Amino acid sequence: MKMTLNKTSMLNRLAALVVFGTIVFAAGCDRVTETEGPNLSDIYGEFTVLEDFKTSQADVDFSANETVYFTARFSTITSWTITIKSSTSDATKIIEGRSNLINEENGTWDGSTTVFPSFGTGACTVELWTEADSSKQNANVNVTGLRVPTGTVVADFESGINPGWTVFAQSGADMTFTIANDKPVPEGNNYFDMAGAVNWDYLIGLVDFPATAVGPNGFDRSSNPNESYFNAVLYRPDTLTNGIVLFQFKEDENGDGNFNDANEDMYALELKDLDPGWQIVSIKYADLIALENGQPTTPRGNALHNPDKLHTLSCLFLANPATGYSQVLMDFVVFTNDGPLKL
Amino acid sequence: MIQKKYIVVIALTLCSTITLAQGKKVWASGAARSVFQQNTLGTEGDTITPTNLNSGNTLVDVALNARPNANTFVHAMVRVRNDFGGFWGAGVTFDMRQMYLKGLVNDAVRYQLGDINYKLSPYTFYNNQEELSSHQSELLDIYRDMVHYDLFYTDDNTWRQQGAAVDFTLEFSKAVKELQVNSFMFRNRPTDFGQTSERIFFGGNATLLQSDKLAVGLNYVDMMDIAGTSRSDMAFHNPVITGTTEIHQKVNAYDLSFTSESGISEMYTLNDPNATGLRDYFYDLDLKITRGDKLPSLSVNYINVGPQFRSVGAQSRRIDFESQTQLFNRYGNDQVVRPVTQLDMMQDASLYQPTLSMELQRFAPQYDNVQPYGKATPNRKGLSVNAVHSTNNELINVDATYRMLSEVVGQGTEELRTFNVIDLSALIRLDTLMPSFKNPLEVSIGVKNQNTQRDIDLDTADVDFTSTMVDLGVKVGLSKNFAIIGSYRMINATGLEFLNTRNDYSEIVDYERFNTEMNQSIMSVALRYTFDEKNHLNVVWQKLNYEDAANAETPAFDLSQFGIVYSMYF
Repeated sequence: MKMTLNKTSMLNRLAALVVFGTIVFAAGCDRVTETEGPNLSDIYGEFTVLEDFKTSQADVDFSANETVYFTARFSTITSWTITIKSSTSDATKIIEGRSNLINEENGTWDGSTTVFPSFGTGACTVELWTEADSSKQNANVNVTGLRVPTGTVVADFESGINPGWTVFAQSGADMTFTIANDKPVPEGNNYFDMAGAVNWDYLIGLVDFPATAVGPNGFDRSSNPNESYFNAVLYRPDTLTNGIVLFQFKEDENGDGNFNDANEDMYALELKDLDPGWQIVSIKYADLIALENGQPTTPRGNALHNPDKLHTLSCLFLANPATGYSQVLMDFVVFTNDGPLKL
Repeated sequence: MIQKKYIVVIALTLCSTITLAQGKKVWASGAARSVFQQNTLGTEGDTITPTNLNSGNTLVDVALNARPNANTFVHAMVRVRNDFGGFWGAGVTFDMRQMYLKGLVNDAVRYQLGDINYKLSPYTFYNNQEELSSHQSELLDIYRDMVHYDLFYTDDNTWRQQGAAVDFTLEFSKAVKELQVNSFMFRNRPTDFGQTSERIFFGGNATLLQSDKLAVGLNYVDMMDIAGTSRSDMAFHNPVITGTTEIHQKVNAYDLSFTSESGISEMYTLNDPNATGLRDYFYDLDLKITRGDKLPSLSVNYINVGPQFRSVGAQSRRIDFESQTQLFNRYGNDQVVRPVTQLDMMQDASLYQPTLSMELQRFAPQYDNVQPYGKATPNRKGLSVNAVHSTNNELINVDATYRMLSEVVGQGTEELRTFNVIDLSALIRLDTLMPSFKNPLEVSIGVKNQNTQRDIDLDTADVDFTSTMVDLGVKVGLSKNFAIIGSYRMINATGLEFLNTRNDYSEIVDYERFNTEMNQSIMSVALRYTFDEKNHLNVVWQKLNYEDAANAETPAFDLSQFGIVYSMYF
């Protein structure tokens, strides 16, 4: 009995110690006691337009690296959309944001396009829509010069098929692996049409772009994979979702003038589920990964990204053989420096 | 095709092995299931959506179990599934469902490799039940159990992971009874050899058992990226350390149990200039009083979980409300996405996720607005009281809880949200009153009411949100093996709430208004034939009605479903 009482007493003391310890623990810990998130009154307060929608300049020459920005100020944070439309074509640029201030930081137009074709010179209408009051304000901008894309153009398809390229198409049904120009084009006048139905293989066709066909300096890349961006402009028809575009980047690491699949790196960019319509696809060279049957794998060479040793760029057009006819259009394949392509 | 041949060869090998090994330590186990459903969607004026949809499948899980020696156990399970309409192999899929081996080293250290179910505490590593999972009448479990089985969700709140686990116990002769040690390491994500690093989840628990009356423990978990496994030098970390105490004491005729857990967490990303680290603490104190079987057991709980407390292992949710339903994914003439209803939550496995999530995932306030991430829900403090009672003759089992919580810090304002929850469930076994009636005669009732309030000077940002769920169930046994079961569950949610929009670092950057006047109900009736405890045939009819008067873009609809479900475990 005495023993029990002693144990009970010990447990009581321990219990008190635990409660005390927890309180000391809580008191001794740091905690941020400021409110979380943006102030509610900045978002759900009364909405008024404090500064009307304006452009920074009436004329803009994108070819001279000029940009134009838009300004407006509101009493509360709201979602807004600036829509710039060419008066001469269907070219459209959309800038979206959510803030109470539109300025150079979030409302700059560099001449690039959201909905192709690309902008031409001439007048553009600019409309600002604000979610808070569903109001619209308008402005005008006159484009006097167009953007000049920079970088190493691998293929723009304006001069036909380069004899240095290798084009292969399976002997399937309704095969098309040719240059075409009957759709609005994001850049220039031509694009490359990849289409067909192959019911025995994923591969429908491919195009190899070797460095030797690009120019005397090949792909003209530096050794830094963080500086080089690969870009291609692709188009998926509304009704065809089964196309897969696989770009392969084959490096000649030992400088023997060849790519050896067994012991040199081949990185890849696999594109499934493209959005319908034209779109720019861009990736930093350093972000490319090696793939084997669509799954990431260890590169077979030095496992270093060497854009300066790029030997051949291949574009494979694939589709599940059970899914039938497939089509993707390709235009303006280009390497850019220090950032993705903007058209 | 190669895969099919490969699996057939394995299956034949297994069969022959089992046959040859009869009487030895190799045996087969598994499960079989067949489901057929006929679904009808009704939406006023909808001339686009096909209104009838039939589906069905049969699947068999076959496992090979082997005990090559007294201390080693090996298990591998293959799933063969055939969707109805796929004849002679078309529509058949073969998958490796699970594989593990476990054993005992030197009669002291237990280990398991491969697929592992694991948990620690509700603040470190814990698979919280999904919304609406409590109060369910037996009928609503028919489909829910299938989803749980497919996703390896268990009633003991473990997460299915892949990796290794080790545990052992040290026994002492003086002062301390024993020290239990558990540790694990799971691979959460493989590297892609590019910018995505290998991610692991590891940790463990040490519990010192002083006696049957006192235990203290330490839990540690960390989700982290392993540097050097990719070209990215950024590395995510989420270490959590907690201490636990358990004290049992008898005072006069009362049994008192005091349990507590408290700890700290950090979440940060190394070498990411945009990442801001989060650090916070929590504590959870719980006192339970019982006095024999005649009086209800009473529990009082107090929690305080900081707004920046992050624990990936404990805050990952089962249901991803950003995903879409498989059944009648879009509807109406505008083909809008059909909202996730209680019917989908019961039977659509695609809404559920089997893995841990780095972010505080989106939740649905209409189903749970108070603790959507379980006890580890950040920014909550307050008191809960729970009473559980079962009458001596098992006539009535009652479980009642009242929660009175609030935020720890305000969101966008100094004012705090307050949360009140009433949660009541009862099972009444009427057959205990009728000794001559040898079959089950049961009625179940569940009621859950949640209210969220926040009054601030800005009327447009006030919060007043209430959701109520009422669940009624009945089971009438017609014979030893044959029963009719019925259920009605109604959910009503009204009011205005603001959902948080968080950035990649789990910080609130915006709010989204959530305004609803939702009413949904599901009426279900089933005939159940029980071959044995693990073998049931159910014929189920259900009808769901859904409307949300505050959201005209989602038109009201009803969904009728007739199903035949056969399940067997062997």
